[in-house]
Formats: sequence, structure tokens, C-alpha cells
Amino acid sequence: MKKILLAPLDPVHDNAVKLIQRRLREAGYHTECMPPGTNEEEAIGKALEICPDVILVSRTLGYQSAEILGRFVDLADAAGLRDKTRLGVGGMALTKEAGAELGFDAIFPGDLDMNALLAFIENRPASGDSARVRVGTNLKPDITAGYSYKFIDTRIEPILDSITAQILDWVKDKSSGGIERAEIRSQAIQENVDFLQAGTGKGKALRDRYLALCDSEIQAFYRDGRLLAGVRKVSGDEIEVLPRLLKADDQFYRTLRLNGSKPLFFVQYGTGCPVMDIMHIKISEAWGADGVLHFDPSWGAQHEGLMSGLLTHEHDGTIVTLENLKLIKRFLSLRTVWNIRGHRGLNTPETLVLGAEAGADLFKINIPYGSTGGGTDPARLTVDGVYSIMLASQYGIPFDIPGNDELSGVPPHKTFAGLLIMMALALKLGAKPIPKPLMCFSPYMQISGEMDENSIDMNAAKLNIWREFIDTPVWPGEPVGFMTHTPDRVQSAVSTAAYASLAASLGVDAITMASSDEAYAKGPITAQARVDTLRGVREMMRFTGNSGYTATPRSLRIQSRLHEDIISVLQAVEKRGDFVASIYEGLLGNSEDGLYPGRAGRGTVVTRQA
Amino acid sequence: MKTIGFAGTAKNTGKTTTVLSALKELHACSRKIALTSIGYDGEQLDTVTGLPKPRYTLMPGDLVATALDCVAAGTAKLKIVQTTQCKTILGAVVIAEILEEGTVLVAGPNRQKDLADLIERFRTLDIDLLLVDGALNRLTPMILCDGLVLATGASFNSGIDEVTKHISALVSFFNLPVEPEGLSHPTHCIFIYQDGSSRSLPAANLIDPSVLDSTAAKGMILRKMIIPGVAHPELLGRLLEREHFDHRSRLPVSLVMASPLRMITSGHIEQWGKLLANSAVQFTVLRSIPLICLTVNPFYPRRSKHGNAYEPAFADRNELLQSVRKAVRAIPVFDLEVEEQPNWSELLGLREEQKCQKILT
Repeated sequence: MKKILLAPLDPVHDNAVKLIQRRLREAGYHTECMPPGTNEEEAIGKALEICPDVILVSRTLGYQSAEILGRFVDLADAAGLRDKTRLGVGGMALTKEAGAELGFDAIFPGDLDMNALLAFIENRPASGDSARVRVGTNLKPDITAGYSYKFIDTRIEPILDSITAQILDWVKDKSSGGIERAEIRSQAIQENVDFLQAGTGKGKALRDRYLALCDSEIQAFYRDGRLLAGVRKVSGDEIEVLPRLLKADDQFYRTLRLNGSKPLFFVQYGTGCPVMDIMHIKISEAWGADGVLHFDPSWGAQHEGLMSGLLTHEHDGTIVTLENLKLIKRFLSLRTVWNIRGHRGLNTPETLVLGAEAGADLFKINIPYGSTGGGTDPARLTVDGVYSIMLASQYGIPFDIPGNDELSGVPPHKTFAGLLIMMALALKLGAKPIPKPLMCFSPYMQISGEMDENSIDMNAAKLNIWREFIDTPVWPGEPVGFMTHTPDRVQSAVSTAAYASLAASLGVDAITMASSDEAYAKGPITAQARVDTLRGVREMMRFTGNSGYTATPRSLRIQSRLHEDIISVLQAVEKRGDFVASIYEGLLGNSEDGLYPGRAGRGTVVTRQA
Repeated sequence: MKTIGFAGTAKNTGKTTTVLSALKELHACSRKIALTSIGYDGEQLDTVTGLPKPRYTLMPGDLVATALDCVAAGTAKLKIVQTTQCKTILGAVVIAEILEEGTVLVAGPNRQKDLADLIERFRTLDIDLLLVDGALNRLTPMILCDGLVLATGASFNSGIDEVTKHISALVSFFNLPVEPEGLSHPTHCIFIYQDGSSRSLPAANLIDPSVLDSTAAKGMILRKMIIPGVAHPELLGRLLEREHFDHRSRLPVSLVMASPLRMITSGHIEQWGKLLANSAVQFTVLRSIPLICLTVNPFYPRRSKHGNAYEPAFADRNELLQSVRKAVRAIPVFDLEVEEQPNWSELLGLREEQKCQKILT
């Protein structure tokens, strides 16, 4: 049995040491614990007496306390202890570099990580993060694993079957420039054709076919090298500096999943610059993000065609190019789940082609939501969306369905009806969908006053209702607490943490979180603001632990009403017999709700040539 | 090959600056140099205070022993020539050759045992000088070096008198006579009495008070005591109080300690000072290390009035230098920021060798 000596060199605090002692005893180790305020000589004297395998000292690192730790290490070496005894130190403000300076064999900064501690005691690599360096090990959780996707509410199954049959029948002879470009891009990837280099031969022919389907601005990019406004190439220097900036490994990774294997925690990125995105991703990973979502510029959804190369953009949203995606992928942790959205634009199918090639784990597709507001024409996105779902199915990559049309003022029952149609469509096409009910204080809720009493009843109903319909994973988004955030970073982080806590306690599978300045950043969001939220959520997960929220009678009433309202919407869409027309006519959200059909790509649906 | 250690009395006393000064001159005379650290050196910002730090620049042909995670961290182009068995928080220690001039981050072996292994490796690599940068106030592994350069300054204590008193006391440890060769290095503390009899303690170290309980004085006049490990001065004092001294002949008891560095490791200098001043005991050491010179640095990090950060502060540069020089006359003392720079070749005993004829200064 390994013997551990615990020595709090801190004059006052020994809570962490007591906690570690309890955990180590539970794990079967022989431990000896010294009182707080133990000095270096006393600790080494005790060690000489009991000959421990490991000495763990705790001390907050600061100027002049560093010397105390250095002296302890020196004394251990001089006393001949270091031949057989290894030294670990835990405390705030410790870094690997400080640990090396002090001469310790291991450091345990911040919160207690028992896995890392036990690995050190046993002198083996840490599980989890250390293990993931093994090539070929799949460390990414599959959000859809374990779900049968069987309909629980048998009333909606035939309705959805009818609606989706109509959709598939409607699209069967239709195509679009978006679909054709996806097919050309896919062929180009297979044949190693680089559109930026394709000056002659087959490559040129492919590129010419592609450009014939693009906007004039995209054509000018490839033909004349003219960049869109606000776009420039990423320089070699900017990329070369990355490995150096990111030399630290995941030593400081701390999971947010304190209470089990789920939910997974996602953050969004899209600063405009892939290099800056990588820094944001690495910071988020270190603070516990399990996954990241790639957000492209809003104008990307409204242009026909995608550019190529490493490109940076001075406004929000990082341009989707294969090179940008591959650069980002290169720096992702092997455990990070990567979602590339393509749900609402004219390049949805092509985005999936590039995403799959770059190694995406998830996509994002929602025809009703993407067909509204500043999005795509409903007919066009229905054609492109169905094709994209088929691609996702072929690739075996699940996709999520964001319910963010609520942000325009659409009541949840209409949004959820759209999500269910997407779910049924995906299942019919062999894909794995994940509904994303929005946890928010939407315009509808503000006007209706349904969340005046509290924020729990309505949001709990919006999550719990999915278990009544279908055996599916649930991923509230996007991000949780939307429209509750203010320019006050503390308020924003607290709000996100509270929503995340509610969602987690209701058993969701994943949660998307905003940084605390995301709603009001007036430019790229800051790394500090990312940490605000991740830290806040972590604290809230610890606070809630394995306890949680139980649906109140009011929440159950909301859920019941919501259920019936959703079925009514689905019946109306079925009755209309035309999904695209249902969107145009507002059955899934109308102008009174604040929703208008998207216009990008109107009139571009073509009849597929036999 | 000579191995020179650069240690400090505290963090930020100027160890790296001192090594840089030596490197500058040694590069000028085309010495084949190797560099390592028993801590973590060459970083842009201090790992504790966050204040800027001097960085190491090495030249083509130099060697560095550093942890694997640090190899790509500097601007110098490196080629790994050996991977050692020594493991650190930042990965295995490797020996790398500098291919193109640039900065290096150095985090080498932090245990005496691992430093000993590294020195042996360098002996096979045609090196003139191995420079070992210290860490904080850590000294123990430095006993393996052929000479020691000690840095002190306001970072140890912002009071010049306190710095002077401390370094003066510290220097006195290096003046302790070395036992003639032939005295074996025992594994336990040994007491030798006037009648030739002896007894030993069940430990090599004297820092656990329970050692006192496990032994009783023999009742004879003590002549010699050998402590091969670490001793706490207070415990040593209590042990001596229980022994009989030869008051009649006034012959002092001979106290043989392991080395000045092991003595310093435990207890406070003031506690040792009292023992050293006791005329009834005479200290010798089994092994020592020449103190080559001292450097003083008036810089110290001061807590900022605003927030939790540190800001640079300085003691009176000239006063500090003069005060230490006055107190430590036998050892050269330098402030490396003033014009007069040490003649490192001479201090390190290299001037007589042919290779150094290129030195112009």
C-alpha cells in the first residue's frame, strides 16, 4: 500500500489537505496528515520517519512563499528523500512552469482533480486527457448514443409521416446551385483540385463549372483575386506563431461535467479570424468546454459560393473555407466535439461537404428557422436542406436543429413543431438529429408574461416536453439564457450558469453557452469573458451537484398546453399539404409573431434534369 | 570540463543576469558552452510576479539541457542530441545543440542525482564549461559544481543591512575548512569520544526531534561529531548541550558537517551563526565548493498599490554594492548593471588556457 504524507505548509488553510486525505483513505491509501502551519523541517522530519512514497504539500504560491516551497524541495533533496519519494504541490496560482522552477515532480493547481492526483501517486499517466494523446483513440462522446428515436407520442407520428412524405415528394425532382456546387466541390476534393490553383485542364473545367453557379463577388475572388470587403488573407507569420503560443498542453483542463458524463458543454466561436478562433477554442477547452460550434459570417449565408484559402474577416463570423476549417481542426483537442453550422444559407450543402472533409463531428441544419428573417427563401432551403440531411446521413454525422426562430417572437409551440418536422425528416433519411429547444427570454415570453413569475417553469416545460414526443437527445441552445444577458459580464455569466444548471438537472445531453460579453461585445468577444461563463457554469454545476429541479404543477400545465399547441400546428401543416407554402403562409411563425420568410435565393430552385 | 553553478539567495536576485554576463564573455572567446538549470529559466515573464525577465540567447555550437516541452519555446533552432532518463514536470530532459542563434527556455534536472547524471553526460561531449542556473533559493544540487557564483540583493530583503548581514553570514559557510581526504562519508550521525569509543544515531539527518528521544548522551567527553546529512542548527545545539565537553583543556569539539550547502538548507542563518560563534565547537565540512564571486542586484518586486500585481522597485544601487563589498572583502562583489564587469575568464580560472587568448578586454 502506498504511503502518502500530506503537509500543509500554509499557515492557516488545510481544508484541501483534509479533503485529499479523506479521498485517499477512501481509495485505500495509507495517509499521514500534518497540521496547518507545518514548516519545511517538520515535514521533512516526518517524511524521514515514515518514508512515504509521495509527499503532497499545499501552499498558495506568491512572492516570498515561493522560497518556502523551494526550500522544502531543497531540504528533501539534501536529506536524501528524493531518491524514493516524489513531491507534489497543490495550491492556487501554480503553473507547470512554477512547478519546474520550484523543483516539484507534479503540481495540482486550482480545484482538486483526483484522477490526476491518483495517477501521480501511482506513477502512471493521467487518465482522460493524457490518454487522449494515444493515436486512434476516440475520446469524443456521441450525443446520440443510447437513443432509439422511437416516437413516444403515437399521435404525432402519422402526422409527421404525412408532412415529411410531402416534403420528400416535393423535392425529388428539384435542385439548386447550392446542391450542384456541393457536388462539384466534393468532386474537386476527391480529385485534389485546388480552385485557387486550377488554371488548366480538368481542374479548370471543374472550377469554371463551379464559378458559373456563384455570385459575381465570388467569381471575382477566384478570377481576379479580389477579396470581399473586410476580408484579407491570413499571413504565414500569424499561423507560425500558433504552436508557440499554444505550447502548453491540457495540464489545466478541468471538466465542467462534475456530475456525470453529461451534459456536454459547448461554446460558439467565430471571431472572424481563424487564428483568433483557435486561441478562443484552446482557452475554452482548458476551462472545460467539451465542444465548439463554428459560426460563419451572416453574409456567407446570402452569397452563392464559397471562397478558398486561409482568410480572415474583420467582422463577426469566420469564413467557411476548407483551409480555415482544416487550420482550426489542426489545433482542436482530440476530445473536442466540433460542430460546423450550415443551417440557414445558400451554401448549406457545400458547407457540409467541406465540414466533413475537415473532420466535423456535428452539423447544424434547420429548414424552417433558416428560411426566416434574413435567411434563405423557404423553397430553396427546403431543397438544399433535404439534400444536406442526406449528406449528413451519408457521412454518419449527426446534426442539431436550433430553435432560434423564437428570437424573432415565434411562440415555442410553432418553433417546436418545426423542430419535430426536421426530426422526422432526418429519421426518414437515416440521419441522427438533435433538437435544440431554445432556453431564452424571448419576445413572445416578454409580451405574454409567461416568464414573469420565474424563469424555471416555462424552460423546464420546454425541455421536459421532448421526452413526451420521442426518445431523443436534447440539447438546449443556442446559447442558453438568450436575451437575458446584459452588458454586465457578471450578470451574463450568472444568468448562463443558472440556465445551464436548470438544463443539466433536467437531464439534457448538451448545452451551448455564450461568453459573458457575447450579446454586447461590439466587436470580437474577449477571452476573459469566455472564462467568466465557463467558470460560472462550473461553480453552478458544483452547487447543484446531483440535486436538481422538479417540475412544478405550473410547469406541468405549461408543458401540457405546449404539447397540444404543437400538435395543432403540425395538424395545420399537414392539412395545408405543402410544407414550403406553410412556411410562406406563416404556419410555423407569421408576421404577427415577427417572422417573415427569407428572401435569399428566391427563384433559384431548378428542376433536376433526368 | 568545469561546472559552474549560479545560485541566488532568493527569487529575482539576478541569477540569470549573472549567467548572461558570463555567457557574453565566454562566447567572445569561443568557449564551448553548455547551459542547464535546476529550475525554469529564460522565460519572458516571471512565473510568480509576472514581471519581465532577462532571456537566454545561445550561439551555434552551444549545448543546452532542457525539458522537452521547452525545446520549441525559444527562437533558437535546436537539434536534440541526447534524451536523458531525467523526467520533469515539463517532460524528459534532453541535450540539444544550438543550430541557429536565438533564445532558449531552460528547465533541466531539479534533483541532485539527476544533475550528477547530466554532468557525466556532458563530460563526454567536449564541453569547456557547463553553466548551471539555479532556482529561487535552492542550493542543494549545486554541490556537484566546481565553483559557485552567488547572487543576492533587494529581492531577498529590501533592507540593505539585512541583505549585507545575510550574505556575510552565508559567505562564512564557504570558508569552513574541509576535512582531509580519507575520512569516509558515514551513513549515520556518529559521535566519537575522548576514549576512542563511538556511537551512532539511527539517522544521517538531524532534523527530526524524535532523534533526540532515541539516544542518550554517553557521559564521556565528546571529541568529534560527524553529520553526513542535513542538520537543523537548533536541534544540533540541543544535542550538543547534552554532551560533555572538555572544559579543562578547552579543546573544541570537532563538528564535521556534510557541506556548506547542506548546512544552509535547514534552519536560519542566525541560528547557525550562534553555533559557528561558539568557541567550544569547531566546524569542518566533508566537502565544499569554492565561492567564485558575488553579484548584487538592487531590484525587487513590490506589491502594487493597485490590485494584486507586482511592480519593479529598487534599493539604492551604490549603497547596496558598497555595503556588501565592505562586509565580504575576501570575495569579489559585482553589480552587473554598472560599468565594471567581472573578468569571467579569470574568475573561472580559464585565462591560462590557450583557447582564451582571443579575449581582448
